[in-house]
Amino acid sequence: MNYKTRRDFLRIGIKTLTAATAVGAIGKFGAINAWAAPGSYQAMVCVYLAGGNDAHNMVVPLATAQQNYATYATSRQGLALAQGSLLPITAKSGGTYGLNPMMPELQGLFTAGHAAILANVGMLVIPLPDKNAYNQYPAGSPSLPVNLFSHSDQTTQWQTAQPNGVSSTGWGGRLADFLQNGYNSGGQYPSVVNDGGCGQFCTGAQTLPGVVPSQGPAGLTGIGNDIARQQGMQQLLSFDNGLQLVQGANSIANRGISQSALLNNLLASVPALQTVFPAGNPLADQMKMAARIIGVHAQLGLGRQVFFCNLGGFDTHSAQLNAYEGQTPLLQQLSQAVSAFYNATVELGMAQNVTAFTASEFGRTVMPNGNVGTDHAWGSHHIVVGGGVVGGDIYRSYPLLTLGAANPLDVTGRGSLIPTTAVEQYAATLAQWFGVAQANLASVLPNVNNFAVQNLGFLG
Amino acid sequence: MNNPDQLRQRVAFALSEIMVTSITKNIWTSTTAPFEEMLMTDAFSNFRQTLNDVTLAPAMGQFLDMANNSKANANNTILPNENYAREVMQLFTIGTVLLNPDGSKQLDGSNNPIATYDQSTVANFAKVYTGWTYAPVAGGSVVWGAYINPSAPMAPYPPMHDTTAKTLLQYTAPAGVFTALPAGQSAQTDLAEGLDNIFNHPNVGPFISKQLIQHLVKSNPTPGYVQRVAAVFNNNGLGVRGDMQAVIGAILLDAEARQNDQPGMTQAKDGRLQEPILFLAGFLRAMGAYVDNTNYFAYDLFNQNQDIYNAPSVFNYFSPGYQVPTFGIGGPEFQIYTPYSSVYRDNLVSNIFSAYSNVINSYGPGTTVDLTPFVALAGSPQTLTDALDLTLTNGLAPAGLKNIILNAITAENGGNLRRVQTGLYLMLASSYYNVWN
Repeated sequence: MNYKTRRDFLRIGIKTLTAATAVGAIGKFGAINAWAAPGSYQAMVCVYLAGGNDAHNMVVPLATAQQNYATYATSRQGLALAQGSLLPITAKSGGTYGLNPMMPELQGLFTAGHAAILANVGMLVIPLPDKNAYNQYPAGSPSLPVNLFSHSDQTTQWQTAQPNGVSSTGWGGRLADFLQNGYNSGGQYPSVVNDGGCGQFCTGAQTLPGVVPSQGPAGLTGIGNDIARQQGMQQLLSFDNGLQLVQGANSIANRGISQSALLNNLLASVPALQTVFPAGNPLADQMKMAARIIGVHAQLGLGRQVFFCNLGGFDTHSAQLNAYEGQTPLLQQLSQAVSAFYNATVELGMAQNVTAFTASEFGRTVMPNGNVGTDHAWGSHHIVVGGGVVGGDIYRSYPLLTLGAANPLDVTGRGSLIPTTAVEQYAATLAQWFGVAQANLASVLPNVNNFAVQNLGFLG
Repeated sequence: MNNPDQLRQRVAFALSEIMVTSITKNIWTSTTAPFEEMLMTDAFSNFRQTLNDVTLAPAMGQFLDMANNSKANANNTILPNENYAREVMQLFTIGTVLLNPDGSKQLDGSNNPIATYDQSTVANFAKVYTGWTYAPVAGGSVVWGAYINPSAPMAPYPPMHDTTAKTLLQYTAPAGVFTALPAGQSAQTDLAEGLDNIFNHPNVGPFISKQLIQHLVKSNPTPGYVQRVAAVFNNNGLGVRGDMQAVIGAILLDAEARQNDQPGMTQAKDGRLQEPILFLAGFLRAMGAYVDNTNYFAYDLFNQNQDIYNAPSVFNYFSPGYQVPTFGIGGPEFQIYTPYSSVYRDNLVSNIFSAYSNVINSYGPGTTVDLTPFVALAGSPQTLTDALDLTLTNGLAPAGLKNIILNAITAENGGNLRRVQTGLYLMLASSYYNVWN
């Protein structure tokens, strides 16, 4: 059953919840939002931009209350995109901005109200309003994210929402854990990652992601009707010589064999998507598979599903504007993939039920280096796309792009900007849309209560 | 595959997964083979030599942007590139937190790890690495912004070197090693003294020793094992630091590395998952396979998340700190061993031994495995099982595993060749074989 509007969610959700309360069977069920109730389906798709996307060249301020194009151009120098090449958008809350010229599809989604932009998001433990606040904590203070500016640390922190400690689970996986009983009981594939760049995002304590390559899950081919092999393989999968790594490998092999068989059959049983996805675009390939899996969610027995897709190459320390190997083709791939994915959710009648959002370990310095590239920094801008998104707007304040002393957020003098919105707040907004009540956010996002605003409003 | 210098190749490959370059950015691949050959040469030299050679290699200059890294402009609105400066410390030498000699993290009074360096250290080292470009062709002079020359180390270009003073890593340095560089030094002197400062940092021994152990022996070495190897890294007994031959010997001859030469000695945390390329090379060598450079394995490796010499980033295909989800145990190679790639691996084995009617199994034009010696043994399931154990698992496969193989071979009614193929399929699909110990 698909619910088309939020009003329907609300109405039917409350009925269901009331009925459950009446029989005292509330359990974990009571922890979920009334308007995102069991029986509905929602999916979130994390689009991870690996390497640290330079979002200052993805969304450029043209004329805002705080600054205009000249501020950007002065700081960016040889990296500044020509004003005339930028694709103009006007935020509902005021100000005109220019999208990267390679992103006309995103411009269309923004203008149609299906895409929103979140300004200056990044890892924070606590709010840091300016660099005076930042400078009062010594390096290594638990009030700051560990190893700022390091790819591996910031990647892990983004995916685990654990900026100052160690976590074996990601927040996508914890969401799946939390919602398992209420929405996904008995379901398969509560979370899905593409084969390859599978980080920690979808790893839960109880739920582990299905791993599906873009070309589809392969089943075992070496056994067929050979009874000797069938029995031998069955016994091998439970063979235990006491080595933990052997147990771990067996667990993975078991999942691979059982899940691929299930998903192969399901995907073959439904009509192909009509939406055209761009060719030669690895992100589009992954998002197409996500759309196909969303199309069989009912057969998988799922009410909530978390996806993780990955696009690499954003660590643009040099030749960033290069048309073939810099950021330029990557943003084109991003825009085209996200747009095709949105169209596929429309085709499936699921546009309201699916939200795609970008993540990336850090933003990049506003100041270029001598190789026409940028170095590791901190806050960055992100994109949220979906029928449920309150789009056409830029949420939170776009930061000043001046360098050094004049900029209260610049901690290095190179335009490494303190985020003004935490990843926790971004994640909390998505989590509430997904069905986690505000009072329970901390079970998914341990630091969320360090931040007063826990719903940024981009999902209504 | 067929060369006699397997240990050199294994160590060089381990180094290539620690000091990573990748075709993902070096799309003109002329520098890739020279870089790998350089690591082969350096594998048995001194780590300080390796550090120097990696730093000046054109492949690395291109990959992490040390080539054509210029000093700041006149008004400091463009500053040196930080890419190499950061990763050479984070990934190649010392890591982000201070280590004890046994590889464990040092903790401060509040039980938090202690950073090895900070952003300002990175910015200072970025200046150290300025003023280098690709070498001129023979007879030419050094030109800034030169086109890549894959056959020679990078060359200094003095006008682009930052000659201001630099602050390096702060620790109690031995005589002749500096923690700061004065203004006015040449690119060569700054580089030599900067790399000396990194090379002599106390973290290098445990940091590099533990990773080499993880690549060559086991994923979860005891702290004592790391400490014994790190001590040899620090001093080979003759007062030399970084002697790779001594370090490799200490790794492979340690009691902890050798304990499983005897049966029944395994500990719960033993073992190391074979990454795709070592899995492939390992069983093909054991089977005496013929493999030449027309083989199809590049595609198979790509499909198992190990597109060779094309890692997704300088962070390699997998991270040394990766933990197997829900098992709470380190297993770096598990990061690319997904449910899908596990099935792919099984299917690959099945495909290689797929010829039902031919004892010489071909896999594309470049790979053949002759199963004749095993087919001759297949009349006796027990003899065949023992032969597979001896060939593939050093005669140490546990009785439970051998029983599974034996039962399947016995039940296999497709003839002797099929018995061999089934025995191989199950042995190589077993997690016991895949987790080498």
